[in-house]
Amino acid sequence: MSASQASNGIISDLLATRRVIVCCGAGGVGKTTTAASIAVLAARQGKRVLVLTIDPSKRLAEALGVSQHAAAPVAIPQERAREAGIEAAGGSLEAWMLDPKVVADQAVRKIIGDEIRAARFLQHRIYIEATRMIAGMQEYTAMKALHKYITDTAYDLIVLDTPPSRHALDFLDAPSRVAEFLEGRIFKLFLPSEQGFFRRAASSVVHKVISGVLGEDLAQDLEEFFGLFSGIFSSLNQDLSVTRQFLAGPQAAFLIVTSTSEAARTEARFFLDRTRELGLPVSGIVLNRSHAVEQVALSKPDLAPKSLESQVWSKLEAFQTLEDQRRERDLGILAEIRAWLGERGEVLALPWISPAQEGLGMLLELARGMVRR
Amino acid sequence: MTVTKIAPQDVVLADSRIELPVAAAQALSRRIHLVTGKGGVGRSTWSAVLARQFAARGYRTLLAEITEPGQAYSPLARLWGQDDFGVEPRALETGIDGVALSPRRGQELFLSRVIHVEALAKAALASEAIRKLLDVAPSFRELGVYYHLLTLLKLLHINGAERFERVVIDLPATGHTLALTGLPEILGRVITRGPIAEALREGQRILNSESLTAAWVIALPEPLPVTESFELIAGLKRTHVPVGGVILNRLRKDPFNPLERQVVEGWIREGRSIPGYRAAVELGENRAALERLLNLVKEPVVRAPDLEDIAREPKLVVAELASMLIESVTRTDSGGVA
Repeated sequence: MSASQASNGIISDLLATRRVIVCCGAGGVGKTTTAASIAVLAARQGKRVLVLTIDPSKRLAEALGVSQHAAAPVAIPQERAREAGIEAAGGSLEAWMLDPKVVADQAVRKIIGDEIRAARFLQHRIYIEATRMIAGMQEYTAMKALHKYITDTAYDLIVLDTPPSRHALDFLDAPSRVAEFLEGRIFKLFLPSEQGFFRRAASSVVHKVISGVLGEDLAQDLEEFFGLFSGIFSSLNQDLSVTRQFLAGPQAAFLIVTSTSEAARTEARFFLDRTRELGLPVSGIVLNRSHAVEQVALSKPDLAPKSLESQVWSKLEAFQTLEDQRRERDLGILAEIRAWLGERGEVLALPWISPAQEGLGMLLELARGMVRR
Repeated sequence: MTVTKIAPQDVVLADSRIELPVAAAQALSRRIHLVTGKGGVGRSTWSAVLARQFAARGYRTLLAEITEPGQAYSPLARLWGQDDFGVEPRALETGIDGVALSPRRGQELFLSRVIHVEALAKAALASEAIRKLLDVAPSFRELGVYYHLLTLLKLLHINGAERFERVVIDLPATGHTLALTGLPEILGRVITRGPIAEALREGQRILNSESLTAAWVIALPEPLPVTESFELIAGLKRTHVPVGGVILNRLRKDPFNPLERQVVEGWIREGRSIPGYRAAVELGENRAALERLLNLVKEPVVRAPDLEDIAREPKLVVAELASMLIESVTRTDSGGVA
């Protein structure tokens, strides 16, 4: 079948031409596993690969044999690299399960430079509370970490597994919300040192509102926080816009991961439309856990009639009938998704992997499924 | 507390009805229901099912999701053929109003209540700086949602009773859920006095009340979702939200008796080629996950059948599950099944 030949080539094509592959989609569709398998595949081709994930997945950490709370990327253990055929190919695979607080602290230290000021900032209670809050921080962290690695040459390929998010594009939007806020013009209103009548008048309204709503203590803390933060705003902002530009450019690709469920598909469609609006390069859609990839045909063995075995066999045949119906349905879904993309991208249906396959074995099996045929 | 270990032979997979433990049926008599779970487990479906069930039993029901209207795809609103819910409750069908719990709307409600000088409130809302601050400052979005919810809970019906007797809230994925339920504690550390602190305490009184609120953790009978539901329960408990139970969704029907099952499991272990291989393997996975869940959690486990091969359209799935749930609730109420 020529169509499936073409679609099985998409991952190889991307690996040959891109430096960053972003996996996105609704929660629970196998995004993290897909991202890790792509990384394994690339490393088996001899690339130096980094897989960045925000979802603190224990299963993935175990599969790769890396720690969940590292401060920097961790290479997978040598015996696993050997087992996965990475060592023989001369590639390398590192993984980093980002801890938002670790990344934020590093950013602050790097930007402030002065150790004493940095320490004061890191201990500020608003900063500490801010990094504990999950919403927004994960997205911000992903963009921040990505920035670091697109601006150096330590890796040939970075695979980013986007944060689990109801709003699929939050990871792009949330940092830009932060960035907008951080624009000097706006935040200066909060700074006590600003002079000029209008500024001061505006600042006093803002101050009254804030202290009325938040209480005087917090208002003062906020002012102090913004004061400390002032030096690092423009730098953060710049990093984010560099990352966004890179993601819109020719070295990046977005893959939307979906399952066959209608909810996941509708979200994938929504995501596709939005990324197109934003001018981001969606290269393809990965259909996970479908029945669309053909299973091996088999012949009926000789079983004594009316035996327990033959009874079980006929019940299993009923299962097969259901499986066939599911396959029929999923082929329809595959065609539908292909139609969304038209000429502008490819669809790849990944094979189903038995849950008995776990760890690295599962990732390898999926990686093989990405290039099979 | 000792938990009786569940033996494999006691694990019964769903038939075409919902198994509703008595404790779970009792939790359904509370007013506020928080529906949560990892993405893709059927959270929106179950939010809609609970709302339907309440409405069918005659309660004025509010179905809420957390979103800024027009900004994100809403699977819940789609069930009623709408793009999204509005920030004001709007009738979806008889007995059910839908609403978007919006950070912005909540912030507006809050500001106009606490800032008594009207000109100042207006100036504040018009100020770009305040807007931006509310958008990005940590927790302010959650605070808006929180306040919006509090306001809706206080609405009165024309007869003087509560306007909404049952409130079902479709909560976002794990991290965001705990950011919301943990808000009073996290924000309370920073803000100890003033109107925000008051609102948080008021919310805490309601959401942490065993007689008013029940959180439902939706899960699938697969290893990862089961682990995550266990972690989510622990998180909810940490934030003092009473857990109504786990709703184990999409359990496949098991046609095998214990002897037959041994044969199937043996064949799978031997790596023999059998028809319906994937379905058989997944059935085993279902059983193992259910067994593990029953042994891991003390909370009641509601078991719901997989309707994948019967109904694909989300609307039909909701209708089917809702009528099964109503049947189970009625059965439990009349003392039929424990």
